[in-house]
Amino acid sequence: MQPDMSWLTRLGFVAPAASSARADEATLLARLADGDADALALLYRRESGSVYRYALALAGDEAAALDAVQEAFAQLLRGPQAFDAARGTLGAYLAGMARHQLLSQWREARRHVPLDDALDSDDAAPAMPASDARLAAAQQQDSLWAAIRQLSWPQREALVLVDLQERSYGDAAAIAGVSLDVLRTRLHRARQRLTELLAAGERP
Amino acid sequence: MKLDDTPAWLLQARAEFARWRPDAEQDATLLVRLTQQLQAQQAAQARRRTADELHEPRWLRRLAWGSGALGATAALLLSTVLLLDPPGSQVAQAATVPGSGFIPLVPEREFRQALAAGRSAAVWLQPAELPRERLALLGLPFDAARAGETVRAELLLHPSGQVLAVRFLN
Repeated sequence: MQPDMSWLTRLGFVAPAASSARADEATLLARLADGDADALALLYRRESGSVYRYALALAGDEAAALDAVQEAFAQLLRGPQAFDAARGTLGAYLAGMARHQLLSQWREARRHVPLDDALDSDDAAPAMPASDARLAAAQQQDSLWAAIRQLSWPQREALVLVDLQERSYGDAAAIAGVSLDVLRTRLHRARQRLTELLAAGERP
Repeated sequence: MKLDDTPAWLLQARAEFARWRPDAEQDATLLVRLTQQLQAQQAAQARRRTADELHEPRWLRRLAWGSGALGATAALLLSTVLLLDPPGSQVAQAATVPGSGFIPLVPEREFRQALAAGRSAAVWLQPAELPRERLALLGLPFDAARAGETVRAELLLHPSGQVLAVRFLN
């Protein structure tokens, strides 16, 4: 598990290691812009895993996830200068590209995407909070993943980005294209909804 | 930034999630496709650069034609000068006489070497008409209102074609 960020980091100080990683990333991107295939391979090995996991968790379909990864990197190849390190990490940038691709696919398939916050407001009567014992039992992963798949896209995305990918709220909000407050709200609702779904699944 | 406030019951899912990987073959195929895209982009850029070089702007072509015409005229003048005035006669003397008005266009050492060689008839004089704006480039008094006009000059030429010095006549 990723360690908690220090108070220095939270105040905006960048750790030397992070700074060095950014410099390295900038070098690789410059090489990529010059057509260096080795730089592409290094960046791909470094970033593709998390983009793939994010895309797969959202799409629930491996082919769609791979398409999204390819499109994200293809966009980077077409214009590496479009990435602005001041606005977030490269991983977040690529995830944003993958998200765009997934949404396009979704729109194509469903004509519209229920992304508005109305769908985020799970107005159904909340189930009884799940007990610790039930939650422990819910660690049976099949039921947990099934429950995650039942979350709305915005809720699932918030949960995947923050709880599963361990991204910062800032990164997660940037990828999802929402404010920090909206992201927090979605995450809170996602967790709440998940406990409800798990609890409901355990009822006889 | 966030503190890790993920509920404990999601941590196992997080660990499992971190192990998700695409199939190795598909992953490799994807990287190959991206590498091909990168190479295709580079090839397209190279083609564009070549095409740009072939399709220079019209003004650049005009400039090239103009330069060519100017060169031909200069060559004609040079031939005339050579026929009328064999190299090395008066030229070296004119350049070496102090106050001759010649402005060296090469480093002084190179200029002196050329003139020394000139005594054995190696440099010569070429009359020319130069744009008046050249005066400004050489730090001489220049009337911007007459920038379009030409000024009579004499060029001191090395046999290699290098212009060693220039002298303006009016």
